Amino acid sequence: MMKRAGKKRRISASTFVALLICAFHLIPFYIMIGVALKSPYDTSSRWVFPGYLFLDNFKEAIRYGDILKSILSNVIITGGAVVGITVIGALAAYPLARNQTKFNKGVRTFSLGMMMVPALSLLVPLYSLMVKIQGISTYWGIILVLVTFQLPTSIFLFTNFIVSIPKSLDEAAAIDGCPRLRIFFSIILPQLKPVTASVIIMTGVSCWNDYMFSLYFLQSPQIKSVTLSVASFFTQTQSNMGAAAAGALLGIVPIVALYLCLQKYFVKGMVDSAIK
Amino acid sequence: MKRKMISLVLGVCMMVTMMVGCSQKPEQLENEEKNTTENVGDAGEEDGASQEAPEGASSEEASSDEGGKKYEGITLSFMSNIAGVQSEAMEEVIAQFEAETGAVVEYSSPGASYEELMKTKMAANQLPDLFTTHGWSIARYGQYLEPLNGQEWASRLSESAKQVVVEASSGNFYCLPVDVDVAGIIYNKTVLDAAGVNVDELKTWDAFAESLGKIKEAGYTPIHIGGKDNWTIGQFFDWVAPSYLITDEANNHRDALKDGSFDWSNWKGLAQMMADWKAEGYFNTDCLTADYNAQIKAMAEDKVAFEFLGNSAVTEMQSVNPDVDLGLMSVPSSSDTDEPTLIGGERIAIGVWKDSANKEAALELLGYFAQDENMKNVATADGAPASFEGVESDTGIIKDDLAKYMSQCRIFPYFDREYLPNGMWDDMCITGASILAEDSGAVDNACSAMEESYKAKLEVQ
Repeated sequence: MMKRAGKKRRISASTFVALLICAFHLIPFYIMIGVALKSPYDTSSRWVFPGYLFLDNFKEAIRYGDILKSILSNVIITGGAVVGITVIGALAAYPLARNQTKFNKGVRTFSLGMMMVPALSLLVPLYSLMVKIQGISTYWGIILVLVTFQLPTSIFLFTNFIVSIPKSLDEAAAIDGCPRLRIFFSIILPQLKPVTASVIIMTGVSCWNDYMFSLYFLQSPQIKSVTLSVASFFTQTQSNMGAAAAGALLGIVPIVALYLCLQKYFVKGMVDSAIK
Repeated sequence: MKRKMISLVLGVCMMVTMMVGCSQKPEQLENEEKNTTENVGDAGEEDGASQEAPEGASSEEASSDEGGKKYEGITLSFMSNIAGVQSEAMEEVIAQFEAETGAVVEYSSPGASYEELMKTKMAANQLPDLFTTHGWSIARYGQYLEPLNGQEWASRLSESAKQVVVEASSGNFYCLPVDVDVAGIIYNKTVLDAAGVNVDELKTWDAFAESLGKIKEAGYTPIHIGGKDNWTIGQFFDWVAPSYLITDEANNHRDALKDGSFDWSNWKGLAQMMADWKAEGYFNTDCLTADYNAQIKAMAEDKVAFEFLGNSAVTEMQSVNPDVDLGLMSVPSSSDTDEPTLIGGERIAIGVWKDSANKEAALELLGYFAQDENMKNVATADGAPASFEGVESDTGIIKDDLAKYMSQCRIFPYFDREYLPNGMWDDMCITGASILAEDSGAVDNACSAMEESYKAKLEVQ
């Protein structure tokens, strides 16, 4: 009886801590929603939620920030980049995981090393190169840059996962006369579902939230990311907090929806990776 | 069942508590809504008339389309650091240019990261066809910009605009200043009236400091700084430094600052002034954690007496509280022998990249901004004086103050842009933050850090 009471207390304590963490994470959203629904003339604290409905900030975010167009651009950019990152990442990871030669180990280490290089340090030469190949303000240009910088993460995750898949599966298929590429697509790829969900979420979120590359490589108003739209409400000496909050709120809707849809795979992927 | 009931009751209680704590609809918003409802009938009648205008415009466009437009097929890139209503006014001019010439202008305003973006573009020597120069048309962008002395409108620049944009050594200027930034100290009339302070008596910093004491006693914050955005700290020195080092005709350090022989112990006077005011409690207590928005809000809510900001802040303060009563005063001098002054610089200024492939079209767009009506509209949206003789813009509630002080006071350029090597702005902001944090020896450290940085940066220039 005592044991059960103690367990119950432990559960309620852990639930309390979990709720506290949840509340802590929800604070920015609470403030963002409050600011987005608040009139610019309302000088009350940002912690105070408006007691009225004010939607002009959303109108402003749509009209001046072009937020809907930006969401569409973001969908194209993130979609294109995520496809590239997962397909190229998985294809590159397969031989690296299966043929553990010295050279391949070197390639893996090099790829991991690339993750440590701050993108900002390469900005000027990268910008010059993009100008030369006419990749500025184009979808393919920004997708190319994002794929390049996200590939090491993808290769790292896929390699670790593929290593844990028994090699005998490949060998059995090979004995049956299955060519290499087909082994990958028919045998290995179906096993990669959980880790692919992880890669999609992790790299997708960072592509969706990317500000730095978008700032430098997207300069036409025709292709504008959500982060650029939100940033355009701030200058050094001016800011339109309400419209920026409304824009940010609209901008996170697709990524939240995607996360909710893939949540099952994401958690499974993380757990599987941890066990393996 | 019981548990469900308890959850329901608790949930309702939470919602009610939240709603009780909610902010009320501001009066301004209610008035606006009221006006909108009242005007619904009128608007309905006017709609018919207003709808006709675009039709007329489109037919005109169509007719010019038939003849073929001058820059059909040309795309100009235009980047600006301007946002909000000023940006909208600029976009109207651009739309007019596009409609009349057939060119496409890709106008973008990347916001607060504009400077970093432009630095990368300069490093790669790939600049937009047109861009705003935010006070740096000579020192930073001069070598990348097309000299504009030969333009038709060049002779119309006002004297105050010439002081700001013409390069002393060559006589060239590299941007069209749509308006000029003539700034002083922004003050809140309601607060000063309550504290019994008359700005006309604040000719020197000693008199100014005395008034700060009175304001504090009256229960207001004398000066507000939003130090989280540390440029607001640098701004303080930009306002104060000229009076200590530049403006006194009999005793100034203009040449020494430019030739590198400046004795940085002279910086101590103004750094000490900041430290003394901090010790006296003349700055807001959260001067290092509040941001620029807090600064705007505090002034708009009649909580603060003075702020060291450019005039565009006035429009923002009014957008928070349209009834706020603001004024502009000249910057006091550091001694009785000197006179109060104003600070001047570029505001909305546009340059053309000298290597642009579409230079002719870019210069023509610049010409559109130089048209009287367009210049007036953009300058009015910015609340600043237009830069051409004979073009009158509406500078809003500080119009009278501006006219009064511009006729009385000498205008000096922003201190860092004119007298410090490129890149020293950050040093002013950082050393100022240390003084506001009341670090031990912060004043002496500020002098030595400024000297060190000054010498290092002069060497590489």
